Parts: sequence; C-alpha cells; structure tokens
Amino acid sequence: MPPQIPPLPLPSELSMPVRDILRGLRKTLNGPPKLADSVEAALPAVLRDIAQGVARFARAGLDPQTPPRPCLDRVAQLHGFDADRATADLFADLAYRGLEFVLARQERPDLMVSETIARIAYDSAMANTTGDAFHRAQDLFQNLRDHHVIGAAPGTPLGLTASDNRIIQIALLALLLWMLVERDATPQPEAEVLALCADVAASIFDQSPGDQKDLAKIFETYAGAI
Amino acid sequence: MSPPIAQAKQPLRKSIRRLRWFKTSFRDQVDRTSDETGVRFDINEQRLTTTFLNWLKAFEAQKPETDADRHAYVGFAAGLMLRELIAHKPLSVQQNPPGADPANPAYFWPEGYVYVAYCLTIRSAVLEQDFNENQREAPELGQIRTWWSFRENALSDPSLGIAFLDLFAGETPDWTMPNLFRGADQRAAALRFYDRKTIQHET
Repeated sequence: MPPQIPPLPLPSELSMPVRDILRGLRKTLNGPPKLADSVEAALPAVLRDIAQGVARFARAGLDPQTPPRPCLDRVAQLHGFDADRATADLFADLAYRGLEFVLARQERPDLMVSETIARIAYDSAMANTTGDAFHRAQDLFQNLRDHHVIGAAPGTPLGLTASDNRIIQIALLALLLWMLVERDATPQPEAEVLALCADVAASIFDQSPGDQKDLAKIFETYAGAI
Repeated sequence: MSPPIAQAKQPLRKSIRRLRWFKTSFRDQVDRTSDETGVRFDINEQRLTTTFLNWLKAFEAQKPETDADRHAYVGFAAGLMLRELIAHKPLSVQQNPPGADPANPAYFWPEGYVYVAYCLTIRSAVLEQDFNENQREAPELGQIRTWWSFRENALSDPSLGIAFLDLFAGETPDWTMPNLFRGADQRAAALRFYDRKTIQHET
C-alpha cells in the first residue's frame, strides 16, 4: 500500500504568513531611507528587484491606514471571543489592522505586527481560558504579549526597549478594549472608537503601569464606559 | 452660562458615564463658550480622557445605595467632575480676544470658566430631567472676588472645586471635607453631633 500523502494546505492557510512577509518587506523597504538602502544593498540583484516590486505592490493594496469599514463592522462578531476557526481568522485579521492603527496613532508605525502570531496567540489563549469575555480578553492580552505579536522582529523580544514595551502594552490593551466596547444603537465610526480606546489604554497604563493582575476587571469596567 | 448639552438618547445620568458622550458634550461647551467670549482654546484629548476616567472611578467609589441620596449626589458628582478638570487641565487658551476685560470671570480664568460652565450645565440638566428641578445660579458666579479665591484655592487643592461648585449653584458648600459625599443620614448625624457639642459647650 503506497504511503498516504498528507493533504496539501489550502491557499488560504498559506496566505497569512505570506501577508506577514509582504508587510515586513513593505515596512522595511518603504521605511527610513538608510534602513531600506542597507537592506537593499545586502540583497543579490535579482532578489532586490523582486523585493522592490513586492514593496510597491504591498504599498498599493495590503495595508490601508484606516481599516476598511466592512472589515471593522465585523468586530462586533468577536464579542465573547468564541473559539471556533472562523472567529480565530477574523480575530487575527482585526488584530493586525487594529494594532497597526493604534501604533500609527502612538507615532510608532515602525513596529511590526504579525497576523500569523496573532492567530497562534488566539489559539493558545482559547485552549486554556475559562470564564467570561473579560477573562478571555485578559488571557488574550497575556498570550499576545508573551508571543510578541508586535515587535522589531515579531515572535521575539529582540531589540525592544522599555519605551517599546510601553507602547506595545498600550496597543494590546486598546485592541482588546475595542473588541469589547458596547456599541450604541447609532454606530460611531470604528476608527473613532478605536482612537478613544487607545487614549483610554494609555491613561490606564500610565496611571498603573505594573497593574496587570486583574485586567479582566479593567476590561469590564471600561468596556461599558467608552 | 448657557446650556449646550448634546442630545442624548438615554437619561443624562447614564450618558455622562460614557466617554464618547462626555467628550462630545465637553467640546460643545468649549465651542459655545468660544462663540460667546471670543476666547479660543486648545483641547488636550489625552488629558480629557484621563479626566473622565478619574471622574468615573471617583463617581463609582462613593455612589450612594439609597434613592434618598440620589439628588444630593448629582451636585456632588458635578463637583467631582470640576475637581478632575482642574486637576488634569485638558484646556489651554490659544488666543484671547483683543480688549478682553480681566475683571470678567470668563477672561480672568478662561479655562476655569469653561470647566464651571460645563459642570453647572450637566448638573442643571440632570436635576431638571430626573427631579424636574431648576438650578439656581448664585450671585457669586459673576463676582470677580469669588473667582480670585476660586482660582487661587482650586489650583492649589482641586478638591475645593467641589465646594466652589456648590457655592456657584446656590448650595451650602462643605469647605472642610469637600471630597467626602455625605448622604442624608450622615448629614443628619453630623448635625446631631454638632448640636450636642454646642449644647454641652453652652452648659
């Protein structure tokens, strides 16, 4: 009997890390000229041409500064963070977009966000979490932080300063608050809600930077007050 | 000081506990005051957020459990808001109009004037909506001597803003412990205590 060939991954299963690579290239090659020059100089000519083409492509379509409205409208579907596959992909997508938005607002668009790691962190959190949506949000915060979903090199703590870590934790707090905020009958543009969440997260963090033991309580208090 | 409160879809006492509503209504107040006085302000959004969060924490910490104290708590909560606005200073004057008279409270301390106007407006709107009651405006609100004292004292101790707001609203201020909300029972007990001490002292 011939050995069984494992099923090939679906294109959609490959697309998340591929998107991360494209975004990384885009940030690096469209970033500060010095950095972009040194990266380009280090590449062989053939790869340099490909990278430049990819950067142009990525700049054109992958990452709008403000997430598109149909995507953001789906954020309400995350309420409760149910651990099924569709929600995990949605979470990763919105985590990427939301974190990029907050980092830009905090004037740190140079920090990178990995959609793939957001997806891994989500699975890891959901495998071990118990309790209500606020406790799940607390577990998600810890997993996203510990998996280094944001960084100079996502997935690792390499090259991060204390100031970077402050921004990262504010961005994660803002993201999860945004996903928990009670929506009014008259919806407000999600970019405005997310901007408010970023301001709230900065205030909370700066007033008690070390107080992350009872994040669930913080999420519960502020989700209804934004 | 005219009321600018944005239309709320739920009772004001609930709307004010939402950051979105607070920021919109505060900006409305700033615009209205600018139109009336010609003073232009800058708003620091991060400080305004911190003001709201600290107010909410203080509001929840002393919220009374009995309906009998709800009326008194409206005034106290408005005072807490004034305390936080003075403490966190979300406003700064960008430009004064030419010839502004410094003997007018609106030009003497423009930021404080907006803070007081906002807190009195909220207080008035909630009292009217929940208790069908019109707020009084005390003559002290327009007296520059009171504003001298208000600015000097409140900037060194923002808690005194709570007492000054009571004064501006025609109520009796608590100058000794303005931070502490006293419900009807506690006020009655305090009065009994002082009466007894007075009687003992007299005999």
